[in-house]
Amino acid sequence: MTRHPETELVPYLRGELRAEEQEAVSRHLQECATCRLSLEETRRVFEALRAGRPSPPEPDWRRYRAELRSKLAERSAPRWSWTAPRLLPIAATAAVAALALVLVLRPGTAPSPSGEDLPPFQEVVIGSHLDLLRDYSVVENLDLLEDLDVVQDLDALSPSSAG
Amino acid sequence: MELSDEALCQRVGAQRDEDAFERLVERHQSRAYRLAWSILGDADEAKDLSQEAFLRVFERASSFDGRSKFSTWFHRILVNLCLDHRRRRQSWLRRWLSAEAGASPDDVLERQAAPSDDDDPPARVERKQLMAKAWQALGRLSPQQRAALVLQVEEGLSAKEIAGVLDCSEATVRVHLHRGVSALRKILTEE
Repeated sequence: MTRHPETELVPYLRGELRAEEQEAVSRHLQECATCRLSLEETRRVFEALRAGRPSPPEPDWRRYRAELRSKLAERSAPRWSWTAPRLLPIAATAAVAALALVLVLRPGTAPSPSGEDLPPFQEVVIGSHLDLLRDYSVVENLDLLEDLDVVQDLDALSPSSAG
Repeated sequence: MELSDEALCQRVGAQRDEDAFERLVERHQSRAYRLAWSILGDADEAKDLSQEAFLRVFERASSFDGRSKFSTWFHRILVNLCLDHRRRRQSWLRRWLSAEAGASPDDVLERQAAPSDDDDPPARVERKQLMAKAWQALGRLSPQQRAALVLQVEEGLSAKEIAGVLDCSEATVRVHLHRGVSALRKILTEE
């Protein structure tokens, strides 16, 4: 062996080389003081690392596994589901909005500038933006409100008299 | 009869068997945590990353073909997670060298290196200090060199086994080990 067997020194120390490689390194070491010194220093480094192996702070293993189970359950749970109750309103709103967009943008169905003669579906879409319709029970009973005298006279009320 | 790691892993893969998974965790938790700690130098990160490695085992167990040992497959997952984490976080050396209370290897090393009342012989003190310096110097190596050395020292793996974990050739592992040891020798003799 003419070259210095630098990368073979660690496996040589651990006896991991094939027999003929081990033999070749041994022969080289007998002739080469530089490699003998390298080998000795390598041995010291490994001894220092093994002997001085620091110990990490020991976790509470029961807690470690409990945390792991919790992470596993979290990871296994479906992240998004049509059946998730809290997502239903969002999904419904998104579906209505998408459908409305398709209908509004469809050629020949653009709303008239006056807002008259809107198709029924567009009325629903526009209505969904009115605060009044958020309380649907009020809408359902609107005819009852019309029976009240005060409602009939609303137009006659001025801002100052309303206060 | 106790099932082998490989058989347990195959159960996890085929049946999502949580008992088999729990058994694997119990068997490997300590070594996994310690190995992650040696690479990362932080107890909290070592806990999180070792748990993440177990979660990946559960998710990917069906892809474990049993051709390699479970420990090699698992170490590959764990070490790659740690190396990826290290690449993202470049402050490890700062942490390693800092003296924050608690969980860093440095603190442990300082405690281990500190001479006690019985430690009068100077040679013994010097030896302990050399050990501490060696582990501190390990933190200055490249992630691959450090991982190769930690796997050899901590786990007692051969160069061939380390090659399986790091997914590279045995010759590359020998180079990592040689360069790592050379750097440590240099650091230890200079300081």
